[in-house]
Amino acid sequence: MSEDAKAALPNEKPEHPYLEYSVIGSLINNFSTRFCAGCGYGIIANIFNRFFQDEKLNPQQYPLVIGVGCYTQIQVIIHKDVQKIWVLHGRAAAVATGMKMANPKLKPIIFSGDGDCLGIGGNHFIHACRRNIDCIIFIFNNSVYAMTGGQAAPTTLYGAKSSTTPYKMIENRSDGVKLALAAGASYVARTTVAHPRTLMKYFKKALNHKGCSVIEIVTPCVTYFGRKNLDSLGREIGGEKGDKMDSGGKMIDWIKKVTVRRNQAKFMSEEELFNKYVIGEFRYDPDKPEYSEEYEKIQQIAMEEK
Amino acid sequence: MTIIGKNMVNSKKKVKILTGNHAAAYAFRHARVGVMSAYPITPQSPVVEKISEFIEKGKLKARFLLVESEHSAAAACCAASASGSRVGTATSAHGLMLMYELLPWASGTRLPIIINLATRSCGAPWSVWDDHSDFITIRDVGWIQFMCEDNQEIYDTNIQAFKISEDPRVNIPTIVAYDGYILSHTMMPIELENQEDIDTFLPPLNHHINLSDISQVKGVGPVTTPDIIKRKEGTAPGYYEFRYSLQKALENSINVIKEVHDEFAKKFGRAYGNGLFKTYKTDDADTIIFAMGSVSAQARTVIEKLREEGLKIGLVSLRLFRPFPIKYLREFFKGKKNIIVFDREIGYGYEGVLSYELKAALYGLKNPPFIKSFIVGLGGRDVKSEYIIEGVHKSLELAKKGDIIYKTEYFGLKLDELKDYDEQEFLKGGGK
Repeated sequence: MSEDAKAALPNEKPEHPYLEYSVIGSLINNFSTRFCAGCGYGIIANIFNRFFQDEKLNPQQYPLVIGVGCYTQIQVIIHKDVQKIWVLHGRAAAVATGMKMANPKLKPIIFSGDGDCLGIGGNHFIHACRRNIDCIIFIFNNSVYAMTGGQAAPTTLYGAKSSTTPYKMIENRSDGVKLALAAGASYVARTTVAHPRTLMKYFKKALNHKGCSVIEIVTPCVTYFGRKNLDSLGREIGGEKGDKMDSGGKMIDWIKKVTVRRNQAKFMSEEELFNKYVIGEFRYDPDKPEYSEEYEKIQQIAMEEK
Repeated sequence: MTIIGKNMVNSKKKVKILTGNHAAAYAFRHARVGVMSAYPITPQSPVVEKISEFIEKGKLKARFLLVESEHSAAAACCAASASGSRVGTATSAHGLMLMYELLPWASGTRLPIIINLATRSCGAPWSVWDDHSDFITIRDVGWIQFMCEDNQEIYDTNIQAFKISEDPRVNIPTIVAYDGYILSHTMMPIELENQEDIDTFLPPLNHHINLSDISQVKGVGPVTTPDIIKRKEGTAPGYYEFRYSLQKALENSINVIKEVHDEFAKKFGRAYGNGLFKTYKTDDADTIIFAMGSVSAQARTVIEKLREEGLKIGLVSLRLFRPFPIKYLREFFKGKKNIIVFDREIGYGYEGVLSYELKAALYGLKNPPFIKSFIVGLGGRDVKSEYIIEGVHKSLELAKKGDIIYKTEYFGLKLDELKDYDEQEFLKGGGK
């Protein structure tokens, strides 16, 4: 870099308000991640850090269970006090269930991806929802297996290209929200990284909720999803095939374009909702019995009988 | 690799510069695999990507199944194979372990499935780098296991593997392993054979089970009892008999493996030792380095240097790990003085697996060779030439004294550099 170019740069980087609380910030006093340019996980990590710090959450009460995917590297930028448990691919919900049963005072927060939670770990996810175990499950949906090179995932949208579907995806996608609703989770919501305020709202609600909270977050993957696809996903709209999505900004625009608020979606047909993400809160049922509480009651009954 | 035709690059043949993963994908294409099912895992994923590309471009007529886990992938492969199709898949460490339940199932049902394994260390702690610990975990499930040393060998072994597995005398699934990253992501020039030549070498599959033909098939995977059952309708063998036949077939497969290897060498001009293990400068040698995969590739480079020192040294690179070629190894090692084994894995609680397999194989030889083993390169740590040279010197010294030590020894372990790590006592295996 030439001297002139150096001089043109500001001397100090703008201060990051939560820099010192992140792992990397506390180590090297600089905010750097391993994520690609345009990735949405930075936004999620920042929201989490902000929330964790502002609400002064007790790290011993809220362990963070992290599955396998790109987002695993969120450990580098997440709040430094959080207990991080990195588990096998797909088993995050199972591990969280075990933790909750061993110590019912805990409230595990699960970070899992679409491949992790709806693909390989789908079974564990369904049963965590079914038992209504008190935890928060975040599903980061970037619609590909990004870490291993962009293979098609269960959530890949119809018509999208990926490394294993070079022409187009022909399978139907699985819908995390509908699955959670059917399985019996007591708080279900979906939002995107383009709506960070709603994400914070939902996170807060989930923290105060006793029961299984599922929050799906639609997040962009520029490297493996955006660069390969046009924003129309292969369909012609008005005679045009669509624009390239090769940057973070374009993908955020695309996410905004394909999201529909729940109130709006009520008046839309199935066809209009095709390949769209409906966002909003889908169920909030604070009265539904929670598994570990019910289990304790059973234990008491058994003890009294003796 | 021993090349019969001398020239690595034969001008008539198509030569491509490919990674190990893509070499495996090309082998699947040329073998005309009918069904492929896999789940992405580092460092194997490019195999699957390349094959899906072949299929979508119409270069390979096959069905590709996107599944939700390795367990499903293996199950889909078993089912497809039992339906009479030629089947292959690829995986790595944790993927293989998730497949584990189906592996004895595949070998017990005698389905000729081929798995390509880009080796990777098994967690915990997390590591995506190379060692052979995933390869040895499936030692006892009744599969044929190959370990490759270069990308050409990956391509050739895959072609051979289909022929071996589908031989009516064998009918056993095969795993073809190669070092993750070291081979899987490294490019080498590879001779690709013409499709017609491969087709004559590897005729279409004539499977002993074909569930799609319901007029013929009686069933797959019956319930067996501790004893055999005799009824008016017929006699049913017990579990014991089925498993005995698997062991017998594995023992007999060695001859088939040699046969297929020799036929391949004759047809295509490339041979790998005797098909079971490769030797390098062993004719006059009394000291032998014994290793497999990337470790033997590294050892190959230091043989010359050690020979300059006046040592009569050679290399045996194991190609076929299961069935273990006991007879041939015993014959080969008769009269040798020293064997130095380098293991890129540990049989936890004992020592390096290759080392104790070899010791067991040579049991009862007259004037048995002195065997010393070392662990190297776990979790992708570099296997340096110095380690191998030092290991040879060290064990020759011990051999002079006749000092047989069962304690496992390591190269490349850096405990001394961990002085400022707060749990170093824990890593040293003690604690306070």
